[in-house]
Amino acid sequence: MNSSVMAIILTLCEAIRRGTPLLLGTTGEILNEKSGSLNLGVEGTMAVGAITGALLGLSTSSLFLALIGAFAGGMFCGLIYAFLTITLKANQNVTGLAITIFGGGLCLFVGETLKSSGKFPAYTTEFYSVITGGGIPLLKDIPYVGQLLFSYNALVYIAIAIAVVVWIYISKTKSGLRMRAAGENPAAADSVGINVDAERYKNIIVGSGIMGLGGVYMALFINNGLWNTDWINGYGWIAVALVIFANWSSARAIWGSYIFGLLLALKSRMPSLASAFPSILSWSTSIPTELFDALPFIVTMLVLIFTSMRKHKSTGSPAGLGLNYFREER
Amino acid sequence: MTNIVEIRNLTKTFGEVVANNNVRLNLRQGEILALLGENGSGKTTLMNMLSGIYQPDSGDIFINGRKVVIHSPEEAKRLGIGMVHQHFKLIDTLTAADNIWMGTESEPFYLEEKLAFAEKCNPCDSSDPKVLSSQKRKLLKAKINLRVRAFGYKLGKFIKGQPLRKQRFETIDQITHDFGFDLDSRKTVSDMAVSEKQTCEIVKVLFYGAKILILDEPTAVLTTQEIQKLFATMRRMKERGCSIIIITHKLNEVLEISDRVAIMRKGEYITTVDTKDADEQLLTELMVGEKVELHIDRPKTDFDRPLLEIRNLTVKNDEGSVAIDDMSFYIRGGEMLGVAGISGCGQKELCEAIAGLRKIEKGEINHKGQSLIGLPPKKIIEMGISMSFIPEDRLGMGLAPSMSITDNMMLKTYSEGRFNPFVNRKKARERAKQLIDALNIVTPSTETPVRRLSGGNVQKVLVGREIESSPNVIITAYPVRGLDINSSYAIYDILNEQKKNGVGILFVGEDLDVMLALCDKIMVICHGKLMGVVHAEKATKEQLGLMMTGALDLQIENAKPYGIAKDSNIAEEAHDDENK
Amino acid sequence: MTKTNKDQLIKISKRQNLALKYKLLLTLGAILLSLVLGGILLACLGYNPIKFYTEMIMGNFKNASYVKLMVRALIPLLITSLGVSLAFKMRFWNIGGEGQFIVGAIIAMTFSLLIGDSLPSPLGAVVVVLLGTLGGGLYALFVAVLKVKFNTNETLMTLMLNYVALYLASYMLKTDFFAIQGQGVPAFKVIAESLWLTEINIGKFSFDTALFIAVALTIILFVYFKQSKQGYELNVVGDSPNTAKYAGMKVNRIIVRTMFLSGAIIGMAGALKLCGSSAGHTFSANITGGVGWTSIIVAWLAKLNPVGIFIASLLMSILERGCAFARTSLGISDAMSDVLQGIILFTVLASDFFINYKISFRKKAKLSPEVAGAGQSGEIGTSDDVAEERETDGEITPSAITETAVADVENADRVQADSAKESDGSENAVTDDKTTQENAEETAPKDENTPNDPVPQKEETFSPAKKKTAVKKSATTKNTAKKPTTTAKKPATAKKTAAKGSVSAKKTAAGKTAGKAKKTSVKGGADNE
Repeated sequence: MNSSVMAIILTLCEAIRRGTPLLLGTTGEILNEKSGSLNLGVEGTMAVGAITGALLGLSTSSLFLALIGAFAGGMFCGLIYAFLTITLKANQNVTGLAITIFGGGLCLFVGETLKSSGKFPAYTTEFYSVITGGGIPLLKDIPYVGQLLFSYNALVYIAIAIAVVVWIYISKTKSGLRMRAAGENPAAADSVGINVDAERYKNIIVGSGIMGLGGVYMALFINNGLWNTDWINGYGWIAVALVIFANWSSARAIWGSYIFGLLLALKSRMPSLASAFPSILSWSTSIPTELFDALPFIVTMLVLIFTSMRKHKSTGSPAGLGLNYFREER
Repeated sequence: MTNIVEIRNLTKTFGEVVANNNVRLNLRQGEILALLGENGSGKTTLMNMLSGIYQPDSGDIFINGRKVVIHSPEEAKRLGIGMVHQHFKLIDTLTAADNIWMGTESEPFYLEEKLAFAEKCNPCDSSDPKVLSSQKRKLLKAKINLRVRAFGYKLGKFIKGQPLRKQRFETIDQITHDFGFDLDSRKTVSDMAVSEKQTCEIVKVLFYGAKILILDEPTAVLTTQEIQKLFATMRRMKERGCSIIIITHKLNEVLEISDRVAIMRKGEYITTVDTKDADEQLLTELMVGEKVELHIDRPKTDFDRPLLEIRNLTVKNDEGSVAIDDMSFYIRGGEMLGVAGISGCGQKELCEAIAGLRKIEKGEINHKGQSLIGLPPKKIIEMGISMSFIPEDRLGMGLAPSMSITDNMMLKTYSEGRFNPFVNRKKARERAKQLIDALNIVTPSTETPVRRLSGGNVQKVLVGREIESSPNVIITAYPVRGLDINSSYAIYDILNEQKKNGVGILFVGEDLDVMLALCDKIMVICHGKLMGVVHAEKATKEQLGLMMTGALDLQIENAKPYGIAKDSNIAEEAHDDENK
Repeated sequence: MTKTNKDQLIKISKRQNLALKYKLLLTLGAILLSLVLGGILLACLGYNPIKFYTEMIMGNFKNASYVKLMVRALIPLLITSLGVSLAFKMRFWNIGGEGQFIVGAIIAMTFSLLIGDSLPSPLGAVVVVLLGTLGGGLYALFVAVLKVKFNTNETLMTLMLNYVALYLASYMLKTDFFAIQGQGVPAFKVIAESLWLTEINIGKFSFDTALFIAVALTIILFVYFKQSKQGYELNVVGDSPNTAKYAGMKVNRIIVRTMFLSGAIIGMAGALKLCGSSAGHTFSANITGGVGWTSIIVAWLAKLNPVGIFIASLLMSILERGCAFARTSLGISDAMSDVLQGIILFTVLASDFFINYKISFRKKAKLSPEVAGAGQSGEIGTSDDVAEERETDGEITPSAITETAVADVENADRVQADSAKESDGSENAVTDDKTTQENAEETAPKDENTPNDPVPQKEETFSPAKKKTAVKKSATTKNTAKKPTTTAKKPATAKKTAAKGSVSAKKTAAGKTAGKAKKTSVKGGADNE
């Protein structure tokens, strides 16, 4: 009895663990898209955030600095993207892909170079305990519930907080309103005096910073601060899909990312679940793990198809998404 | 009476087209001025310059006697100019309140004025160095103090201004009420009816303190009652000290609501008259001007049986309202039928419906007795009906902008040769060359991408191509829009050639003089309804003008239905059916 | 807000056309720039950029076998890029190159294993490759149909399908059908020899069969785009779907067909790689080698032109192989090629801007040799003069030393006196500005129409800020006097001159202006000293 409950709880914990970088990536991308920018560079942005944050954090053994570094790295990518698509009016799709390729390459390059030269910082024991430990001191000892709700590292809670703040910003503040206007109908926003370009710049850069946080999470908490070539591993693309799944609301994205996190967690947790519930889940051992890997993408495809099939198209997707705004062409 | 707006010698050219030529206009404080003119007279361009969307090439604008240059809509807004456009600038997914309110900025701190004042109060003019330095220090402290306070003020305002309070609905509701409107500020724009959207736009403009209101064809989308409500609103605004310019075509409205009427024609300013001294007759005369004797050929042909017959056609436009309302007419072979009407009266939808590009709600379209309804555009082209519509942006419908003239020439004929997978550019290139010579198209070569040509030349390509495919019905809309005299005549010649060959031509145009000279008959549409069909030789410009504005409906006047041919092919079919 | 000042400083307008040679020059310049940037990055990390680039070239041309490796990298890239360009030309963002490649290879692998030796070579190989092609086409067709029917976002769909294919491929490694198990590390089976695509020998060089196919495909596609009916339709649909519809083209059918072809070509690339020797005639989970991503860069770089694609593919292959070589010889991570590719794409995107848009700076109006660094010539309109006017920071120009300036000065006196009385400076500063403004206008030489009506008093409705802006704008009389009142700072300046009396006012003003030639202009000549 206990072990089956534990199996479930552990699975859920893993789901939340896996879901956190998704949440960060999705929230960042929501900021991008709501202001009208379809930023496909999430994967690359997360990679850059991962490497800068990890390097900074590991060498200083400070989680705080790691987060700062990651945010800065993400902002850097966001700045490039914003400059190219807003000021230089480049095609958003292609620019985003360029960021992905560049960012991923940069992360690999720096990581491998440092690794092979032996200069990749290793974590100190105290930092390691920060990475692997975490949790709110007293609350986490509550049986079951404590494990489920209070035993995570700081970034998990920060991610939720960020998602909530972003949600408030978008739907409840005046700046968020203006930003939405800029994404929805730049010409109308312009006519009222909203600076469409500035709104986009702001949101792209901050959103990319948040994505960077997602990246460093992958590096430090999922890969435990150890270098390997697959730090981001497609989570960036899942985030892009999650935005649609969450209907462009970062509050919805919270539970959306945990659901996807569950799908991802099942890959490693399925065997223990199966042994905990043999009667129901014995068939599951024959499911290839690759199916679990592919599941988030398949689910996203289904979401994409079904949302586009809906006749009554009231989505949170801004009408001006993906289109560059050039005031002259009024 | 002071002039709140003065426009002097404003000129605006788009490429070769002079949209406004040394236009003058005065708007007096507290009056309602109607701006009247036909299509292409330049009214909207002028108002766009006033509201900051276009920049004039030369000329001056004075607001309250002060010369201004208006670079953008925001600057116009600050000057107190607010324009309600024909195409609303609203964000569909937001509420009315949000749309109105989102452009507000908080009260500024007036830092610069305060700094200047500080300088005045702390003069550094002592000759004693010690006193001077202490004076300077005092001044510096004062300035720093001001800057810090400014920053804090801005920050505080920003934070305070962030949360969207429920209160904003009440505020907007209150303001709306004060202005005398009835608008639910909580309603989302996409849920609103057209007249509500317009109200929202008007409130928006007033909200930002507009004292000079410009309304561009506001009544086009309103019902009669709504129009009366709008007028009541305008009078209310007038009482509050606003000055209003209303762009309109409708003479009855002009006479009802305006204090003065300014008339424009073909980019020129004609004059301004007091409304109380004017009547429909006078206004129409001013609007259309004297009849200009154009030496356009009108070859006499034997009219053939009706080639194209339209019966009871009803078509909707993109917004869902009725564009063509129960219209019937016909075109005979060898006949040129002109279509006159104010821009937006439904011509575009009519052309699209015939070409198979727009759904038909009800009615019949018959070509040589065969119904065209439901046929794909390609089939309609194959049957010999060619449609060339020159929209305002010219490139939108008929041409592929990045492709060469040659490639565009082939657009309808490229699939010739059933088993040949390749296109034959040679033929198209020759045709292009011929066209370039015949119409004096200015272009470096036949392979130049079409978007690099100037406007008039683009049209020549378009019209020329349509003619090339040897159709038996040609529908051409604004073929000479923006062209110079010579090119225009070249096109008239082409059309006449076709006419002589027995082709039936539907000519949708803007210039009444041209139509009176060129066409055999002219039909007039107003708000999607047929007002009448007249013989061009016997018609007068005034008559056409009155019909265009809806003041004259020949079908009612003469109590007989126009548009049904006596020797109709449709009747024959019915007859045949009965015989079976 | 004074943001509008900046708007007029740099005017951006769409360009009509740029001659081909300039386009090429810009693109080339972009690529060179990116190499420089890459070099900087290397230097920062402690490597020698020159050495790196030389090794990169060496890695490709050192000897015949290196050239062959480069060619082997070129082939799938070239074919895939051609396929991608087909879709891109129609503005259909097919990001699914990776997936379509893999699927082509999977299908080819499947049938290879099924057919085995039963068909004579090269028939077997042909069959297998064709089937792979078909597979890739169907994989893309799926997305096209969804797009046409439901307007599903093709970018995301193709992306998702990439991952599905990838995981399918890694799953295959676990099956007995595809792989040999039980050897520690499972390995994919090698396909039967009769299905191998061998090399064709010409003289003493041996070329992969696939190379000829790739080159042939380039030519075919070139002809397709330029000369065929379908290519023509493709171009029209990509350029203006409305025009295509209007001309009677079946736009949906064209989209689906083109997308099928796009995926098919990419699938062929996958199948060819499987059967060819570069991959050892066997499948692997990363059989693509990232070609699905690189092909997008290539296609964009080459502006979707087949010939350009050939050249760009060559370039990218040299880059990739070079970096791989540099890894062995210099120990530099070969992720450098990704980094370089990314930078190249950035610079090319940036250069695209200069190809498509024209920047013009506002010209400093009128004469004045002293107007140094005032910005390059460009288009001017009346608005430019305005912008220039607004830049003034309150200096009085020499030309203002006419009665105008004197009048200004006298007014400044008045301003002084008035403002001293008031406690709230702001309102008055502005008001007084206005008064000074108005007077200045009146005394200015009338070389253009001026309003007939008397200057009205201030309106209560305008807030001070708005008034100020209005004042700013009206400071644009083109005639001589540079008004000293566009900002509130001016009373201070005016004050100074006023205090010193008219004559010295001239001197001071002149001195000031001479010193601050930056933003002022001389109008009507400086014949007043």
